[in-house]
Amino acid sequence: MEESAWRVLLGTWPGRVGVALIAALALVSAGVLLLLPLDFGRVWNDPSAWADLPKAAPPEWSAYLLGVRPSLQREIELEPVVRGDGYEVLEATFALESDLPPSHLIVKVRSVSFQRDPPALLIDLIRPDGIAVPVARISPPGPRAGESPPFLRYAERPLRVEVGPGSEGVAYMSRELAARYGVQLSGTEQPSHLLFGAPDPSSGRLVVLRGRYAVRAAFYGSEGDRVGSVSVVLGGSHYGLMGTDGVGRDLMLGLLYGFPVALGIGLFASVLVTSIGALLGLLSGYYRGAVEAVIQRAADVVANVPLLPLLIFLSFVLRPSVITIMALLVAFSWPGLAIVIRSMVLQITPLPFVEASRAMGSSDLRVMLLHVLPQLAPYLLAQTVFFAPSAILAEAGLSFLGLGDPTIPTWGQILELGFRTGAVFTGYWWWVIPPGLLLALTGIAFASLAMGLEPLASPKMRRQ
Amino acid sequence: MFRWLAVRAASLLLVLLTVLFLMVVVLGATGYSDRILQAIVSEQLRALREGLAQRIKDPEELERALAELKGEMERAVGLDRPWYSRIPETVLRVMTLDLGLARSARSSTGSNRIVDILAERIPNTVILVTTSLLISAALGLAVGAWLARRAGSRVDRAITYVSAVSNALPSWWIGIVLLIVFAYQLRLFPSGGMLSSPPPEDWFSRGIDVLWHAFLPVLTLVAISTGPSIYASRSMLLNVAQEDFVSVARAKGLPERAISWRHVLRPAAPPIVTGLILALPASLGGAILTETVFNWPGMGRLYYNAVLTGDEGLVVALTYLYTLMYVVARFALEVIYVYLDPRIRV
Repeated sequence: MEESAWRVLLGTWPGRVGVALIAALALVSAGVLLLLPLDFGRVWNDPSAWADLPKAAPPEWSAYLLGVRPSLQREIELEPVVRGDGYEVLEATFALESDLPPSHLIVKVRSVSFQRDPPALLIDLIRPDGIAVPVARISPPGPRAGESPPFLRYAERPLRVEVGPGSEGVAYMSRELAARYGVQLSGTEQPSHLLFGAPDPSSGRLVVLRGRYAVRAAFYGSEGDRVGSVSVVLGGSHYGLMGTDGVGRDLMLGLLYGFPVALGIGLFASVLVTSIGALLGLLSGYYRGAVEAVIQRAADVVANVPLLPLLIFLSFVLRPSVITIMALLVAFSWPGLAIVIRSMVLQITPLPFVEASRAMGSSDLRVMLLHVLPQLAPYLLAQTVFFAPSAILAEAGLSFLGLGDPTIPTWGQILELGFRTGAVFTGYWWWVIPPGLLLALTGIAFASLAMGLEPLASPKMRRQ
Repeated sequence: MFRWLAVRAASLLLVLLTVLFLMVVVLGATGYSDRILQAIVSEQLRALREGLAQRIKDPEELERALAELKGEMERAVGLDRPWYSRIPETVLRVMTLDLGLARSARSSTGSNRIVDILAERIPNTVILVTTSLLISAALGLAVGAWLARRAGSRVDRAITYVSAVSNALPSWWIGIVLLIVFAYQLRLFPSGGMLSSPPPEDWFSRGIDVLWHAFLPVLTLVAISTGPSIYASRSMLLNVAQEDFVSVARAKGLPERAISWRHVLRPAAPPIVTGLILALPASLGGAILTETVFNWPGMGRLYYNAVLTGDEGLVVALTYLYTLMYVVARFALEVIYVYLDPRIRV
């Protein structure tokens, strides 16, 4: 763009808002493309990649906002304190000073190797009040037929043991709470409330027992048996900047990945629509006759097709990818522009400079490209910007109806999953508000930019 | 005038036929039409089986008779022919909604015939869409007229900006936010549906109950379609207000009220109807998503359920009905346009 065009654009405040927001969106998208893997969709859809994270955990800052100290997600590696031949003790301590207990406790064991009989690994959680909770007893599967020592287990994937409801540790802790503190349990308590809880002296309700905890792992094997590493995962009561969804996925990453996807959908579809609409409008305005009749009749019909129902139908039957969704969108969106461009071309072609060029023997192509198209360019630019949010919203709408491309996470799909999981009625606001807010922000960005471009595109401005 | 309307009607009919043809071709080419027909045949066979089993006692003979019957019926619906030779029949089938039984959706009387289910859903959608379209048209005209008189002022610029931008917002998400705030947090409005359960006895409190349930969905739809409506009314009124005949009227010394009613509002009426025509597809589309958010028992919510349960017969029927509804509403607005625009009437 020329310098004066920038001045016009930045002279109105919708233009300034638009330029600033689009620049921010583009910057985030570029950063995401550089930092996140391009096949992030596969990671996103792989539940094992998110198994350690808490499910449906609100963002950390929301806890501070409510004046609650959250317990943060951590993974604590146990250090060997005693190391004998075939006998090891590993230990780690951690402080728990939060108002909420960790969401869950997972024990992870990597690379156990043994020579003859499977070794045993006993892991205890030692609480500040001295109760040692047996949280895991692990014994790897014995030698398979035809396997020769040393036998290696849990090398490729660590063994994960979640101390869940009904586990030995939770049952032990329920008994201890009743025996030592006389707590009446209803049986509906969360496992982590039992593991990390003690009755409040005044009210008798279960609260977090604060203080230093220890985790001790004792490894019993024969000569030459070894354990690679043992760690415990304390799930966060709150997680990250944006919280997690029902599968434990970090919503921050999904939302970030949505930036380049949304921007790509918007720009790709709108550039395509503008090109096709402009081309057809140009042809029918320039050549008139049969070309015009065919194109404009077709435009009349296609312009009147109700878009969303047909998109729903086609997406339902064809199960398309993001690319085909965009293609379908383009296929039904070009007519408006073709009709307007035709009437603009009809006004431009009789102008003296076009006539002169023709009289000098310029080819049709040359006249169209060199004389007619430049007159349309500012309007086309504004239209490209104007159409982008409709494309993004159409994709989001289809995703919301469960017709999105499952291989690529988009804001619409995150919202849909949240809505279908009942986020609205369970109060999981962090799952459905941010993706919609980002959609709205993107829409506002493009709409503002389009408004800022309006003075450039309107014929009155161009004559000056 | 009739000629003009006839041309519009023909053009809209062509739209309907194009959509139908496209649907039938896609259904045929992807094998969906075969599946729908097969489901219809096996449904009818199941009904006939009882009767046959009464007459034919020998199980082997019964199976043979059923197989023969099945072949006959498949020939009758055209399953023995390639899909493209069945296009006219399939178009007719879609138009008469003869698409077999719904998978899991039921009407309130328990029928699973697609026609029965749709018949009770259509009014619910029509109520929602027309109410919100009328409210946003009235609101758009009022605010648009108010703004046109203050064109160029700060308020005007701000509201114009908001109306233009509101077009680019995800309406259904606004619905979700309203739900979280008013239904979940404040518990002022119900979280979805159309009637409380159990519904109130007498018709008056029943009406109030429907209004109470309809408040948030209507608010959502109005929120998205009022912006464009304000924008359209404002620019139409501004255009007319700058015409010479308005200056003449003012020069004649006519009171401002008379000028705005007779010389500005009246000539701007047809273009405002055009604005409504343009807002129609967005409202219909928005209603699909809004009904889904608010669990409103209309066609849109049914669409969502049909997609979730993979009910192809319902999806086809709904796509056709939405197109039909759009075409009919569109034509109705064209008739109003003709009535309002004397240039076409003569």
